[in-house]
Amino acid sequence: MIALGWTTANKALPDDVTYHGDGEIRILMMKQSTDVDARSKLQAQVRCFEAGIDFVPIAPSQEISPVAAEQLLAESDLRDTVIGLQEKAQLTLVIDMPDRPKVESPSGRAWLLERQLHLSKKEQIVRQISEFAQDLTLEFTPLRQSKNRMQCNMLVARRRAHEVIRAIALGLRHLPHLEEVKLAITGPWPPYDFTTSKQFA
Amino acid sequence: MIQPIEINTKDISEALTDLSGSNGRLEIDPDTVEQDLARLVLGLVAFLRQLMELQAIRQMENGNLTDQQEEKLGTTLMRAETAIYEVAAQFNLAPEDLSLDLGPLGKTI
Amino acid sequence: MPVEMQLASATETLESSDSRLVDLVDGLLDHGVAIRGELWLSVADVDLVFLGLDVVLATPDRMRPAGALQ
Repeated sequence: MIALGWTTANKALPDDVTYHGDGEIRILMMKQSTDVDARSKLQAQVRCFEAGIDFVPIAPSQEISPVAAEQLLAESDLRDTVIGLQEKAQLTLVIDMPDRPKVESPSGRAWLLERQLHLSKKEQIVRQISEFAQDLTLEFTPLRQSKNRMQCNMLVARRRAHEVIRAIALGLRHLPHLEEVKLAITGPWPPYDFTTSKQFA
Repeated sequence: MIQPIEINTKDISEALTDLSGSNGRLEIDPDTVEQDLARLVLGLVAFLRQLMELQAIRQMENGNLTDQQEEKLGTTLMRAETAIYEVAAQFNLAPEDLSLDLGPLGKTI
Repeated sequence: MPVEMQLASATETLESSDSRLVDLVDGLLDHGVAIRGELWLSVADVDLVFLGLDVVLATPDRMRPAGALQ
């Protein structure tokens, strides 16, 4: 059996998911017991979430049994997290920067300056988005970045998620420094990037 | 003065985790042992080089470096990057195969 | 020039073949509550070297408070 997360919900679940346990906090688990890959678990979690279930998700790549999930709940402060993340959702922004321009036969100094420019542009974009998002979101994590791509995760009140998406889309459209970047706003998701967070207010 | 970057075993472990994917295993296969080892070693070298680059940029921003130092640092880091990618190419590894998060500093951007 | 922007619900993101969204989904697979610190160097399916022992619930870099950039 494979656990998907912890919840206080009591609502009807998608067909392939069921509750385990009978305490205040119960485990969501997949009915299918074997051969469940990470992607299928993610899909099942999203189905639960979109069916209105609030829960703290287990990373889909992890194999955690319902029994182990109960044990984790008993041995950690997960309960606070489950309570704290009730009615919360995550929005995830993907920001693609244009490619770094290739500096032709540069001096070392020119090369370093070019790298600095690219880095400061990234910082500026993240700063602008975080400033803009501050009033709309409960929490903000810039991160997971590779060379030209950044990801920002925001924790928002679930019932306001679509309102926030609209506001972000409208607000970001005219921010300076964003002319050359491509944005994708995704969600609402289960709060994958806030499962260790203590700041829910 | 800028604090030096401290790297502990946990950071290294995280860097390796990023290189290994989600199953928690860095597989070294008999058929692709050269490439697997190259990915492991070059990935770590690339990780350290990126940290040095970030730190060099911070030092430069804080005005701690002379023009000559900037020239020398830039040249060295640039050549190191080229060299890493050249060696990687010999093992049929693309730059993305070595791509890591920028590490502890990079994660805060 | 307006910013190029795409909106996608969670389900739409999962079904998308846009490489950005595919990468995002791949990234999500490792996010959430996790028992980490288990990294093995293995040869021919035999685990040989274990790296890192700390068992934590997710990682501290996902705990940054609002607006923190430093």
